Amino acid sequence: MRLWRRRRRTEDDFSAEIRAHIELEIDRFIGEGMQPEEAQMAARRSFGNLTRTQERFYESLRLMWWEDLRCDLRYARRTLTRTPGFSAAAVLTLALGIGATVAIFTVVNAVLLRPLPYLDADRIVAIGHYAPGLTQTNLQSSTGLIAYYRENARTLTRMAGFKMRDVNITSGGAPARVRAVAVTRELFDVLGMHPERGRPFYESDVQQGAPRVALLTHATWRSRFGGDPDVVGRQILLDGHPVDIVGVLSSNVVFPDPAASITPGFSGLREAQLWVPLWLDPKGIFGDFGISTVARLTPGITLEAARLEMDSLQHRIPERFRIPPKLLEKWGWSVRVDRLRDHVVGGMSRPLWILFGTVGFVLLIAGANVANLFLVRIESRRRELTVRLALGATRARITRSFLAESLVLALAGGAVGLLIAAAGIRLLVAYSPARLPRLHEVSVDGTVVAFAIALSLLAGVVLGALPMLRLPRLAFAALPLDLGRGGTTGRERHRVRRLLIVGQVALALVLLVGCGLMLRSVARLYTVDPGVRIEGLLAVGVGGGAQRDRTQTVTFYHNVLDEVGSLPGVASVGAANILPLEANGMSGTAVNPESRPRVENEVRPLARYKAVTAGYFETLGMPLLEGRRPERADSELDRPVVWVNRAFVRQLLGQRTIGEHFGIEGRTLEIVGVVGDVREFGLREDVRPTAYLPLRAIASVGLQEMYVVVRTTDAPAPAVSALRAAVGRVDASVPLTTVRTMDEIVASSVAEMSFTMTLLAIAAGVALMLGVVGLYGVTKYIVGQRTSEIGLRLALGARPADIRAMVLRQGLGVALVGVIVGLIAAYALARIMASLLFGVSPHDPATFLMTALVLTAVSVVATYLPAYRATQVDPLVALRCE
Amino acid sequence: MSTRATERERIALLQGTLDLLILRTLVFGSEHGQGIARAIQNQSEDALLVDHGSLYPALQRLEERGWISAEWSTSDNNRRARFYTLTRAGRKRLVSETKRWHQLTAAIGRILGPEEA
Repeated sequence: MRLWRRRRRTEDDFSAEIRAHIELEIDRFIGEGMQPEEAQMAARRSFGNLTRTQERFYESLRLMWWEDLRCDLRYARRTLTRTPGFSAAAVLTLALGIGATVAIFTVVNAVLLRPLPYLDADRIVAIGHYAPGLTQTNLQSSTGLIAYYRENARTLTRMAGFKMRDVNITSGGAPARVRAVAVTRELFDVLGMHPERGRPFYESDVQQGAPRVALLTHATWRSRFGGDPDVVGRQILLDGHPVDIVGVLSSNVVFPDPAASITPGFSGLREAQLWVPLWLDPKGIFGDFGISTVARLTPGITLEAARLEMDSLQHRIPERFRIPPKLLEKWGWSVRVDRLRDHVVGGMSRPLWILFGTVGFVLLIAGANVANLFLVRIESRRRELTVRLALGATRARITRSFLAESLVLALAGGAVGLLIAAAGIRLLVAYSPARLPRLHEVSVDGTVVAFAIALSLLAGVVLGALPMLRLPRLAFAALPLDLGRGGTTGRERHRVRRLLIVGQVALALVLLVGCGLMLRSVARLYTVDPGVRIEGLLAVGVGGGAQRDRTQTVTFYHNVLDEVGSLPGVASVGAANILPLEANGMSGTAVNPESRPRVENEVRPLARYKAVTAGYFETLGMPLLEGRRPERADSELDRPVVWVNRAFVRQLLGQRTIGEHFGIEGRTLEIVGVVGDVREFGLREDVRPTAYLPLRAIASVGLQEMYVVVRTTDAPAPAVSALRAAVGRVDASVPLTTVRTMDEIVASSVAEMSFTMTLLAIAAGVALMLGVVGLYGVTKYIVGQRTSEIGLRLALGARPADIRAMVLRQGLGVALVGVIVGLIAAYALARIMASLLFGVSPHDPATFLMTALVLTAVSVVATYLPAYRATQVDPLVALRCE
Repeated sequence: MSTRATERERIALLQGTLDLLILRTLVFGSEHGQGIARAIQNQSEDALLVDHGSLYPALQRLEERGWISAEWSTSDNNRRARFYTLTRAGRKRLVSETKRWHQLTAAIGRILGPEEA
């Protein structure tokens, strides 16, 4: 360390000084009357050992440290290759720990730490409005609000709006329904980017009568247009309209992130493949919510300042839009301004940090195992160390040579770990839920490599420091007398080892509890009744086609149902515009049934509604509780009828159910049936009041695609090609978007939770394994050290059972302390997990108890084996084992 | 070590005293290493032996601690040499060390008793 503090003096300078000294001496001797040669010799003689003086200066420079280290590293490499078993065990254990930690860190780094790939991304904010009294989700913004903020907000310079929409594309390959995002031209300024090719959108692109234009994302340009360099200027057909491609976005722009909470209400996580311009009415109206909004902070303005200003602007909304202030209050109206990154990452930040902590635990356990290996190694090298100390090696010098060994091991472990991490990341990305935002950005970069190196160095230094705990004792205890093998070993010599085992068991228990809680949550989730019969159910997405009006749309889908229904292996068919468990995008409306008028200040839950055809309820297996089923005639004749679920009856209706009237989409509908509750919003979400309308009632408003549900018979389900052909017989230009079984839909609904569970299970499994190996190894080692003692006991008449009991008692004692410490730690830490759990308390006694039992049982096995082996020794051999 | 012949007559310096003597020598002005060694030997009337192998590391050490500073300069007889000067901190150190030394010798003297003839 001194090396850095001091202004370095060169060796040459020092040599010059010595030369000057000798010359001065020569001068003196000559002055005293000597001959020059004689004087020279006398001067040299009087100086003494010149080389030693030089050496001492050299050492004082601490350059020696580096020289020694290099020497130590060479020596360490030789020592380690001489004990390949130890080295391999240590490297692999460390690699496992470091690899797991680095893999999760890579995800944490990409998702949580790295800024979004935009210019000054931390100055981009997302704006959302919330009105819990109206609806549960983010209302986004409206044209009126955006216009209002653009006029008044000083803390935000640029504000852009965007909306997701799906379009049928019929050029460049097979017809497909693709996701597009409609953006205002300001988005390019807000994100601070320019298309890679071509141009951004201009004001002129949204003027009346301007030619339609679109931008391709990089991925679409590559996949659908083969990376055609002349793609700009080409014309494509979107929803049957000719559209000019004016540019291609660069590859790092994936906007909006498909998993981001910035675009809620859009089910099916798909990346936008096209950008089209969005026109916002500059006058604007207050109520047309659903426009996602991002903006850039004015230079020099903090996020807090922007939040303050936006909050204060809310107070003038009643005045500007002529809304009674009391109404806003009743809705619980509020505005939220968040960094875009926080918005994108949303709810994934907690599970990721928890996983990161988890693998940190695994690393600690792995480290403890290697530490134990090291301690054993130091013990076995007592003789060598004693000799080295006796020969005059300083403790620092010996510590340094251990440090060199641990560094070599740790760096090797880190290198292997990095490879494990790289492989692990691929698996992680492949199996992670689609809801993980910024997934496409996950990659090993400089930060990750630096993290891996830092981790390895840290591990190396900590492990290398272990001998320092031992050396003071060695220096005194291991005097030459101790050159022979120590007869008995002191109890406290194993103290560090036992502490490490306690730590390992405790950490493993914490992970097992976490894993157990997740396991129970997922199990609970699977026991939730979705309200539909899952087995033998297919869901086929069918695009809207080029139907011009409601009648055509209704006829089209009815024909599709006929064709699909006539396929072999199909028992029944039906269709809806939204599938169960995936209803995030379901529209909601306030309901005022005739027989239950709204009371002043009453806030009622919104009713969600979706469109269904005849056969939908039967196909899904939803029970009809009252009234009649939907018929095709309901749509064909445009009857004003509606079905509701039980939650609707319970929460929104009064006395009357069948025959009750209420308004949706500007029409008054009559309830003609009540069906069972379905978890439309996912297994974790409560059942909400839901209305089912005939297809016709909704056909003109936002009908993007319909999902044909198919109940198959015992015979093999129809192949995708058969389904495609069936739809093709009705209209060849209509794409099939997705074909999934209901099982898959349920699985993806629990994907996030089971992903977290799987990772926790892997971590806990590794932790358990390492912990058990550690416990086994240490018990075995201690028993080995006591071989002669045990032999003596046996010779003196101790029964093998007594010996076994003694070893077991000592091993288990340590493990049980670990279990207790672990239970306390798990109790304290479980609260962090609460938000990830479902239907189980973070302090679930059953989980805690089971985990403790499992760990204790495993510990018994791990200690029993060495205990059993100990009693197998022949007393004679054992006694001679000096 | 200087010549074998004188070794027995001269007293090797006690650990730590060399630093004190160097500081003391520099009170009278800056001096180079050889000069310091000579000054110590002369002032002790050749009773003390300055091991040059210790002298330069000692100078180095004192310089590091900031008690003396060094500069290349020219000697009386036109030789380039590294001259050492006492710093303010060095002066303070000298005072405190001298006091300690007197206490130490007095204490040891009391134990050992009066010098025998």
